[in-house]
Amino acid sequence: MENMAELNRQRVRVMTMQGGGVALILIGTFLFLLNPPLGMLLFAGGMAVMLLSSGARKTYSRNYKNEMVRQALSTLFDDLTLDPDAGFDRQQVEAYQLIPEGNRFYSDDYMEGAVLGIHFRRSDVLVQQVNHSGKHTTTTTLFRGPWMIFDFPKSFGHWMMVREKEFLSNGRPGGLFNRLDVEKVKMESAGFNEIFDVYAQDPHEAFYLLTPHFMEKLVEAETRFDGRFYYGFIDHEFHVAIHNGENSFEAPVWSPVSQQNFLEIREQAMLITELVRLLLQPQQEQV
Amino acid sequence: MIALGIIVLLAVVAAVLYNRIVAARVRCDEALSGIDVALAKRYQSLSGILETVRGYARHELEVLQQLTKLRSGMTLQQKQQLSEEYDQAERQILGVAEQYPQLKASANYMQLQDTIRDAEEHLQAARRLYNANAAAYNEAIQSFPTCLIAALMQAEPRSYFQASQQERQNITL
Repeated sequence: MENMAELNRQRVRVMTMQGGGVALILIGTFLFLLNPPLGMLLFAGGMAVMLLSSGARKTYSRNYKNEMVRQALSTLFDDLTLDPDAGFDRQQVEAYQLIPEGNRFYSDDYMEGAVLGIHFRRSDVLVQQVNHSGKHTTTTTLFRGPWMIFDFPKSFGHWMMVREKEFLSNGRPGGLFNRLDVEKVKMESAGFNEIFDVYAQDPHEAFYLLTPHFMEKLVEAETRFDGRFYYGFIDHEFHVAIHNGENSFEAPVWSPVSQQNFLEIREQAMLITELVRLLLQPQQEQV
Repeated sequence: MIALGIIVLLAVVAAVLYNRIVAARVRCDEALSGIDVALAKRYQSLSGILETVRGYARHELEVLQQLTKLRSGMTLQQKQQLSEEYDQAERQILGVAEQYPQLKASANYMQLQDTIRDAEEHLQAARRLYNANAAAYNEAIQSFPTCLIAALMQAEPRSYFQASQQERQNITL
């Protein structure tokens, strides 16, 4: 409770600064027409306040994650490590060749722990392509969402990707000059093939890992959770990257910090538990 | 000149279709060798557990003298029969082991069970891959216009590697 009160104090400070900054900028812009020096002064003042507020917001956000998020997640996961400022390494993510590559990369909210006996690592990842052409700048978000890496119960030695199909976004992984030497593998399930593309270095291993039962589970996960799914079998680990446009565990600014946030954090984190339960828990398999 | 162009075009098309059939056939052959590897692995894992269980229950396993080893030159049907033989042997061995709790609890036995399970899964994967490639090959040689080239090559459809009776029963249940 005390923590929540302190967080709300910090939140109000950020809100006031942001609100004040925006107001100064708007008033300055309007006054510029009537009294340019005063207008410029107010505009500059507004920009300065916005700059200061971004620093305050970062501090507030970090405190929110270290307090609220950590408290919420420690009840869900064992041996939890949480670092809001850390994330996955850009070079490592690009080396996985699971998601499209862009010229802007950001990753934060690194988390490591265990759930239902399965070890995992997780981070939010943002990949964008920013293009400048003369006066115009276009930013295309190629991937935004959680990326989870799990220990997998089967042993495998080759790269494989199972990717949800999407209109005009189904190119060969790694592009034309692919270093991976993969081939597209068609599974025996027509329903599965309609939803997913499979690219594998070793087709035998693709069939070994993608049993009929497991394929059903991958389809079920895609149906239950929002976003475009990328499943990767890379370096003896099972990757699940979901492009859902979300930045998890973000601190609210314009609404109070309350018990509701605690529940929302748990709901976002439950994605990990649900994926483990659905995809990685040993179950009776039909042949 | 136009006639020459048409002949060249037809030759190129024929070459493409021929290569497509050959590539599909090679994938079938590769997948078939994958079945051999999986069968060999299964043989090894079953031999291991057979020796372990035989140490406890020599009498019960007398009928199971020796597992048949995979031989080169076996047809697909023979390999299927071999796979079913391994299934039967496994059921017998595990059925006997059930009567010896001490054996079942031993770390060696549990490790061997994991090895067998893994070998089974590899065999299933090899079977499914072969059948997928055989289906693609059969589709290629029977669809038009590839069937014209296939007829010249005297390409025959490939048989499928059937699931064992046990697997089919599991599916039915």
